[in-house]
Amino acid sequence: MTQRPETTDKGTGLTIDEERGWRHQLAYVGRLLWRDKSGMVGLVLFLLIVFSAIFAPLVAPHDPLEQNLGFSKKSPGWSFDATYLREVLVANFDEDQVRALCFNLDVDYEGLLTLGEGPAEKIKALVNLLEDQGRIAELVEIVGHLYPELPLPERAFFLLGTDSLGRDMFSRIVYGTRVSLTVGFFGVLIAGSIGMIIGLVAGYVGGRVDNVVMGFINMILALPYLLFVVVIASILGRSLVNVILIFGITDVPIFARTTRGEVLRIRESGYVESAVSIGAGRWRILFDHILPNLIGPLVTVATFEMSGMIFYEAGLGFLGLSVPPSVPSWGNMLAAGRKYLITSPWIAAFPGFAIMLTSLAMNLLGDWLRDVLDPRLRRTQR
Amino acid sequence: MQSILNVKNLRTRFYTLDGVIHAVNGVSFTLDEGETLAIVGESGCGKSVTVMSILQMIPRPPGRIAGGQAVFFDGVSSRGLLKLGEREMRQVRGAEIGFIFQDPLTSLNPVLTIGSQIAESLMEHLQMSESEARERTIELLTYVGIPGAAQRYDDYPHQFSGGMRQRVMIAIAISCSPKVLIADEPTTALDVTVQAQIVELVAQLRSEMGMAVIWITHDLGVVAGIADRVMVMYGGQVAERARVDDLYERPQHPYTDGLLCALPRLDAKEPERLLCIEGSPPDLLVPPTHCQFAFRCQYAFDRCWADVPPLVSVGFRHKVACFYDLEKGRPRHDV
Repeated sequence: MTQRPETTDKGTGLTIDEERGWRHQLAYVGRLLWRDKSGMVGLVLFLLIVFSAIFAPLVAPHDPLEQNLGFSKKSPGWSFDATYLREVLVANFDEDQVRALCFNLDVDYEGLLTLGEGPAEKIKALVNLLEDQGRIAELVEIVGHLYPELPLPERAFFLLGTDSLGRDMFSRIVYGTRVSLTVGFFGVLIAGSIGMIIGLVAGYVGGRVDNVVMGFINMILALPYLLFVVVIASILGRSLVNVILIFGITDVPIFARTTRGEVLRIRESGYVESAVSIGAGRWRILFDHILPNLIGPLVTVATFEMSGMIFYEAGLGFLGLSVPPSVPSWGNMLAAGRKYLITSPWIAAFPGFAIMLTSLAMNLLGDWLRDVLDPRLRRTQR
Repeated sequence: MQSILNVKNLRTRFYTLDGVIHAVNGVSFTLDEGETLAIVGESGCGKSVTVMSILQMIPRPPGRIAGGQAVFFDGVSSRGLLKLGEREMRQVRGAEIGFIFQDPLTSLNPVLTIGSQIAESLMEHLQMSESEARERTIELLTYVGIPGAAQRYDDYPHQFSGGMRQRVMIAIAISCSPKVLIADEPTTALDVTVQAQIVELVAQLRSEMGMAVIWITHDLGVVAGIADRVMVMYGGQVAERARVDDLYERPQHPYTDGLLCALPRLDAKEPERLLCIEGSPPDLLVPPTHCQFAFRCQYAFDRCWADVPPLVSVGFRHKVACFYDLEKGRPRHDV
């Protein structure tokens, strides 16, 4: 006969005894993650986003604020400084050389629309035309071939292109995560802590306190949200702190209601009754029995709300109600890209994509967290 | 025998929107050291409310204990349980009087481990350190028959079967060696074989630990096996109280008689239809002014509709609240 019954957890292949230490707990969560692929995608994406927000200066290849009109509205990939190229050509080319260039590029020299007379104006018009057609690289190649001695501009790489002021989109998006995550994190922190306390008090104390508190919550819910934002933004000015405060206040009801509902449910549950029967006091019931049951639902709500706040921050930025335009934020970038939606769609598309990706990551993460934090789902639903 | 719990004229009301529900109307009983008292009766007769009132676990509002007393005597001093403040009451709950609930599936917190829920009571009442409590908890789990207790300390309730969970609930209830154990229909949610195991376990614990047990049930079969004395309740009142053999051999209340006739018998010669008691339980919104069972009683006569019958002694430790003498087949003259 064996001394100890070897109880084996079939899903993990571990004996229950082995599962004790935190190392094994961690390994367990790892396996859980591996099994839930969408949760893993969410977690990896989320960690990438957080990483790029914290280490933005290391991740971003360019200064997000550095303007260079020579690189205005470049599509993703390698680009040349058009302004510099124009200056080189104006300084070195006479009319015949420009004609030859036009011939090589299959451009009608006479047909070039110019403001004034002379080869300099023709060159400007030619470069503008080629820029619009996205043929600058071709121009550089031909000029370099015909006149190897000319000091031609260096190539620069823009992963996601540039905006109208020639700023690197990728770097700006990387820096934009800082705004989005700050708003999401602190907004949820404020709304979550206030909402949880309100919900706990309302649900646990009950009676008249409950009525008063929930009346207050309903009052907040009745505030016309967008109007509220516009008023606050116009009184206090556009700043990150104001946006966080607005979200922190307007989002309190969701947390308060979730908490209150859960507390009401748990308060009447059999296990609270049985805790009372073994002599547990109010505080012990609150901290040992009610709070642990709240963590799961609240963390889940928090991730979804965080994703929502990132969404709404971008929306406010688009309306010009969020952070000042000088700060790279996804909403601001989206608004700036709106004008060039037809000619340079990447300016609006990539920030939009970033918002979508972040939101997706948070939602996947939220789903996964809900499963992980509930011990009932943890082992039964493999 | 020393009596450990003495309940007198307990009355509990619920003030609801429909009116006042007279859930318990003047219930009295005593519980001796080490004995098992079974409280039987149909749903809504006030069995659970009676014991919940004793521990002041009636939800307030809407519930209120309108009167009576419950004296708990622990061998040194006596305490009036109904008058204790919340703080003193908490020292009684769990430490002096343990409680086992009906449904083990909902009575354990799903997000806490089994072990921590048992250790909670030990640390609260016996001021044990965490490691002491852990050690004692594993002993308790082994004691109530959980195999591999040390391995199962960190398991969650959903990893346990219904019977195992009820064993855990029992371990929690006996953790501080209470003098009284109240079991509120502890086997109702379990299947029959597991029921038998739980009944056996409690009987064993009682004899080993010398606890007095109040066993609430509506299963008269269980009562016969475990109880020393039985109290039959009807409409928030005591109908009959007797030693278990007396109750089964010579029931004195028409309701008790009806209940016993409704039991299937293994020794019946021919298969016969089970008898049932016609009618439905009384409306507790109306305060009792007559015998509550009169509506359904085949022996009811004019006096039953005029007065509330008092509990009268009809034998050694045998009391009944009825105006009709079942044995003699005529109204009682001595009441």
